[in-house]
Amino acid sequence: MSDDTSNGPAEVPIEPRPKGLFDKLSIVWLVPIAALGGALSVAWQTYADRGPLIHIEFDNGDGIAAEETELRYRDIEVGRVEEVGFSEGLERVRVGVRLDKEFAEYVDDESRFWIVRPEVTASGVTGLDTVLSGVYIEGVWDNTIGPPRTEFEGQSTAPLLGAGETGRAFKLVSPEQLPTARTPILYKGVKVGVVGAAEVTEDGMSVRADAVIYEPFDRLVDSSTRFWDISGFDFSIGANGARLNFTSVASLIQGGVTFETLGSGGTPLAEDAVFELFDSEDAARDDFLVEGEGQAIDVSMVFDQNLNGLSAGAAIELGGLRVGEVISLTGLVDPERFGDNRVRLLVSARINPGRVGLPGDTGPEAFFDYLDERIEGGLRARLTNASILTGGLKVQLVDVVDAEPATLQRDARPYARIPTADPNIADVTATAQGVMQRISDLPIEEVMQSAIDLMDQTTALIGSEGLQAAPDELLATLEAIRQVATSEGVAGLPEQLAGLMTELQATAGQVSTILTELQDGGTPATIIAALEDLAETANRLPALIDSTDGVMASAQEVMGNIDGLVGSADGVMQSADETLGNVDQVLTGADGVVASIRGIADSEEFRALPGQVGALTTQLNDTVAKLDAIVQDLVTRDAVGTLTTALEDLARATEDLPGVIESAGEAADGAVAVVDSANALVEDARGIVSQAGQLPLDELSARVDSLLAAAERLIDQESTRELPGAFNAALTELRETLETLRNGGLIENANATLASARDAADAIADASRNLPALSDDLRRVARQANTTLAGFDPNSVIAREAGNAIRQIQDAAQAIERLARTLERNPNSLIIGR
Amino acid sequence: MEIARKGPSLTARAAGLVACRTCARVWPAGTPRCGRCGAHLQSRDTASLQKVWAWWLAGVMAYIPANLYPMLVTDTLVEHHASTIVGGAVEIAHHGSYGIAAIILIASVLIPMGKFIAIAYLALSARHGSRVRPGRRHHLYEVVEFIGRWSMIDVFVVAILSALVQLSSVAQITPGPAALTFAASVIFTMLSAQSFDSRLIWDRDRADERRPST
Repeated sequence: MSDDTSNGPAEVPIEPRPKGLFDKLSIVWLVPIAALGGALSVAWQTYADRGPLIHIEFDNGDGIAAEETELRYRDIEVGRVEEVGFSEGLERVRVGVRLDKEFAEYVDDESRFWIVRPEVTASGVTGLDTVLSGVYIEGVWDNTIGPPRTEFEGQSTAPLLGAGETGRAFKLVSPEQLPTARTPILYKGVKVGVVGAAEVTEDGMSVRADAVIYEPFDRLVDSSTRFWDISGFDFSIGANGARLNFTSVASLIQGGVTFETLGSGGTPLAEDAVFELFDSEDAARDDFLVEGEGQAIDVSMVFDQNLNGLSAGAAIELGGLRVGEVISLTGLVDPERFGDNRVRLLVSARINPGRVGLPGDTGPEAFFDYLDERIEGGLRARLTNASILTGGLKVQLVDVVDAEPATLQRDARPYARIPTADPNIADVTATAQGVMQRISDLPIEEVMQSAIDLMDQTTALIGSEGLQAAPDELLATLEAIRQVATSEGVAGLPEQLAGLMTELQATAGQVSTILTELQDGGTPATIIAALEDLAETANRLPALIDSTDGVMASAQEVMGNIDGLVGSADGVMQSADETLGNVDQVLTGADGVVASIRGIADSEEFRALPGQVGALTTQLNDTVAKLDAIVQDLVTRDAVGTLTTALEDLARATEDLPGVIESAGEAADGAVAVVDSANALVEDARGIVSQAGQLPLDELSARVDSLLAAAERLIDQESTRELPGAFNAALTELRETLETLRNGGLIENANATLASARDAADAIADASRNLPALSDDLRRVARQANTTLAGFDPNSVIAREAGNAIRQIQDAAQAIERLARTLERNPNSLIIGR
Repeated sequence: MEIARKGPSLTARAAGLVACRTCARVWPAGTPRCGRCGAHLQSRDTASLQKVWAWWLAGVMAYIPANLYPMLVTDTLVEHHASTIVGGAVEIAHHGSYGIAAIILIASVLIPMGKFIAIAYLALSARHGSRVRPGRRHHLYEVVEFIGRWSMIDVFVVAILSALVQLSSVAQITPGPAALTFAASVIFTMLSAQSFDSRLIWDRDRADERRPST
């Protein structure tokens, strides 16, 4: 551009153009400045956004890693673990968590932290995501800002109320056991709360667990609410058959607790209220019945009998309604009051007047006034069976008819005392045990053995030749009897007897006529006069009786002598015994005689006998006819008139009786002397008796023996012997018939039948050997039934049905008992079938 | 080069000429515009060193967080893993893959660091001179320019992995903050190297030689 350039190369002065500082600076400098600014701002922001560091102490830090483990609130990360260390003394793990700044201010005093780990429980699997992602710390705090805090105690388990859940905490206690942790509280199947882990109380008497009810369900719980366990299932066998109860499959597996508010007007659920957890709905309701509404009043009762079976918690019933329960039982010895040192049963009970029907706010005094009234009307406490099988007892307040007067002792210790009555207890168990005992004592094995022996002998007997011959003889005998029966004489007998009866009837008619005449002749009046005289005489009798006393004294002496006489008679009797021993031989002879008589029965003379009987009857007929004639005679000769005269004489005679009686008194005096003589006479008699003892009775019986032998000989004549021959011929045919029968297999069948019978008997013997085991089983079953039925409410339908059933069982048991007794007496009835 | 061996080289500036950097036509010194292509003619870029230093500083600043923050964030079902450049290389080395670890270290640490040093050296030597001959320094400059783009290899790897491994919750790779700053650092370094007017290498050399002669 300048001219110099065109003139060739030349030194070109290069003068840097003077520039300002800003002109010199390149625009590129903005880049590092911007970068620096950006970096600084990021750094500042990072620092400014950093939340506070809080420290949480845990029992163990399993799975917690610095820079990795998150702190979550409602499952969203709100912080991260920055450091993991130990507290002083290495006691706990101390975790430093950097909070996000925006949440930091909410983390205040009531914040709680716990470590979420995978957990498998009956109610499900929780924290499964932590299997992959690692554990995290869950925090929960309310949504109000409180004073900041940086040191926290971590909890080992998740709190019952999680983040965002509100509810009311309370405690459940149970003397026995509580469900596992995290068991839901269900209300009509809806989960409305949860039960925490149970812990044993300080005194070790019960277990206690925290529980919460979520809002708004806490309205459902007040002081009249009762909780009970619905875990598992309930299996029972009763009069209505077997019952299996469970609320739901879920509660079967994971358990559950439910509740119901049984009354109205309870006070609302207070924080940290304590409720008892009952085993069952029934228990819960029972508790409410006693403790529920109104004020329970303590009373006491003293029972004379210290009976087994009453326990604390037993029902107090009034008219079948449970109005209270037994609180405690103690023995009581009070010689001053009862007059002896026996142990009595002091029962303390709690009764709810509201249950009785009195207003709920009835105070003790009003209640005692009411009791006074009732006791005056006969109300008494009485022990009775709560369960027939288990032997449990309860206390009944019943109106006892004709009760001895008693009053309510208001100032008694420890509580006002209600008078008691005798217990009303049926000991069914004892009866049932008795039945079982009897059955097990039955000599069934012996009976079976005897039956077997009997069968054996029967078999032998049936197989014996004698028995096989017996039918023949029997047949012959029957034939002879039939002949006798069909003989003409026998046929004529009834007619003759009829004649005899007619005659007798006629005689009776005559006698009747005589009596009528007697009445007409004024005889009764005469008799009355005679009786009056007799009465007079009787008045004089005492004197006679005095005399008689003397006679009696003497008679006593006589009796003493007679004792001696009797002693002698004993000796005579012993001799008679010996004599009877000889009589046995006589009887043997008699056997022969009888055998011979059988022969005679078939003899001609015997056949003629009916004819003779007929003749005899005819004669009897004649005799009666003659008697009739005599009576007729009597009538015609005015016998009745004579009789009347005779009675008049008698009356006169009785008038003379007093004199006679006086004489009799004298005679009685004399009788004393006579009795004295009688003594001597008795002495003599003793001598005679002792002589009688020496009488040669032996000889006598020997003679009778020989007489019978003679009789046998007489009967055992040839003619008599021929009879069996005829019999035999007749019976031979019978035997042939039997033989055909035997060939026909009848006997085999019979044998087989008997063999079967024997087998059956063996089987019964085996069975009877098992009977003791069976009765053991029965006893066990009964015991199990006991326990099963123990849980029954005695008032329920089941119990009533069971009561009926048991009554029937009792009847049956009594029948069995009777049967057993019969069997004991007559074991053979088993065989005979009666 | 052969000329250079014979003696001090003659620069265009010394010869009173200025070359067009666009079309290479030589014009007399002082010509403001190229008569052929119309490009702005400048014998020396006076702001060159300033720009070099500015870009260099920005590159260094970006390089610091690139090494402190995680380069690659790996989320799998099981774990969440974030590794820095050096940490990742060490980890890979622990697994036995020394070759890969070496590549990562060379590409992401050695080369960027070498570039920073080289550029700083060139810029300083352009102003204050150096005992190293200009030919060598120019050679160094060419190496820096050539190798600069390869530093991006780490960024490319991250970009490709992030694009490929996106299996939702099962496995996911996302670039960490370091990826961005590292890329920025590389870009700034390249711009820094580009801003350097390589003719300055020779000017100082020329002045040194002239001074004793005059």
